[in-house]
Amino acid sequence: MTVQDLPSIGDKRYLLQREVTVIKVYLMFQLIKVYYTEDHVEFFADISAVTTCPDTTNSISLRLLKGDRS
Amino acid sequence: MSIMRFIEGYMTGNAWEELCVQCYRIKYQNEHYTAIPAMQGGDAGIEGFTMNGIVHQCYCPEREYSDDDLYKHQREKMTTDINKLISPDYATRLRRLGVPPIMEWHFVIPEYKDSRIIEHAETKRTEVIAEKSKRPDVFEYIREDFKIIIKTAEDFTPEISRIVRTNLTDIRLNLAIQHTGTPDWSQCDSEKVANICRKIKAVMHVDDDKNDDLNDVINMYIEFYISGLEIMNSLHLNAPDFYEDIYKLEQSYKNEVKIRTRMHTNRALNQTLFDDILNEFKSKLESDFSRVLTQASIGELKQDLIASWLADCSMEFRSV
Repeated sequence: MTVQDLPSIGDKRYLLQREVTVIKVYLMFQLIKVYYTEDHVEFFADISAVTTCPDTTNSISLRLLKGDRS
Repeated sequence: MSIMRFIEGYMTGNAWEELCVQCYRIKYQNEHYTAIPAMQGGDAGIEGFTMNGIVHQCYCPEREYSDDDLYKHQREKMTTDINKLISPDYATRLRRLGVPPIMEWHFVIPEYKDSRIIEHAETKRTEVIAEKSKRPDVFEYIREDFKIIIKTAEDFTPEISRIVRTNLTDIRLNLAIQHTGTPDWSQCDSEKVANICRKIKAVMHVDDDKNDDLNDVINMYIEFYISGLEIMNSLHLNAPDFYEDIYKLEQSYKNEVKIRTRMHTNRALNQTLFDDILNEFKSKLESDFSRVLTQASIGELKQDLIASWLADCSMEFRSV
């Protein structure tokens, strides 16, 4: 991630394919607090998880492999 | 019971279909599984068949639905495909392909959340059997003990793990978590919590327990520590080869981190050293796993494993 790519508070970014809004950045720990723009669910993630374009890489969740129906 | 909430990824219907075909090819190799390409005359309503009477049809919704809508879409897909199964054109196509009499029709989906889909499968099974009873000569390609079976990703865990890990597909494993910043303290003993607190304070050069940023970061690393244990445990059980790969990398770099942080005596450089470790470990993870894990998963593993080093004392930062 280059310096100009670093997210700032209020930026719209993508976490995989979904748009998120940046709430807080803890640069020293490469952490970011975001919420999904469509439903305002707030959470933290590693800063490298957010991208400037939607990430539509096909993926399968570990959740499905362990059969978690929660 | 896990309370981790995974960040949901994305998968097209075609990608799911290709993955399913690869799974069936591995699992039913002894039964001479044959995939049916969808080109030239359609897929005959099935993706493939075995020589002992199993056929399968795949379905993956390309967007996130509520549980109720997911059920409705799955029900509609099953209804459509079972109607194809008992249509006159279908029998001709199956005969031409050499499909043996069908004993099991598998509906292969990533997951289901509503038991009504199981009831629907039973309703459709009885309809097929009723049709066969009325016109046994027309439906000789369906066996009397015909069953509809719902298969999910969990039924193919070893196959999916192998396919993803060995790059037989473009699909990556996603294990990134939505971290709330409110850890379940009961899952982390006080000694580990104390270690994380001490080292985060040393890295931040902050000793004020009321500092909001400090507390946010401490909570995050406790949460990363707990989720890391759960993720590694789940990989150990469900994708042991993945676990081995990650464990080996983690162990080798952990020793390096232990030496570097213990030899380091200038506390003023704690932040720089921590930053270097974050970046180097991320690069190592990317080098080994960027073709099999999503980018978000690499970030997750980086933070989870660093949290474990903070908690278990292999990584040390001096506060004085």
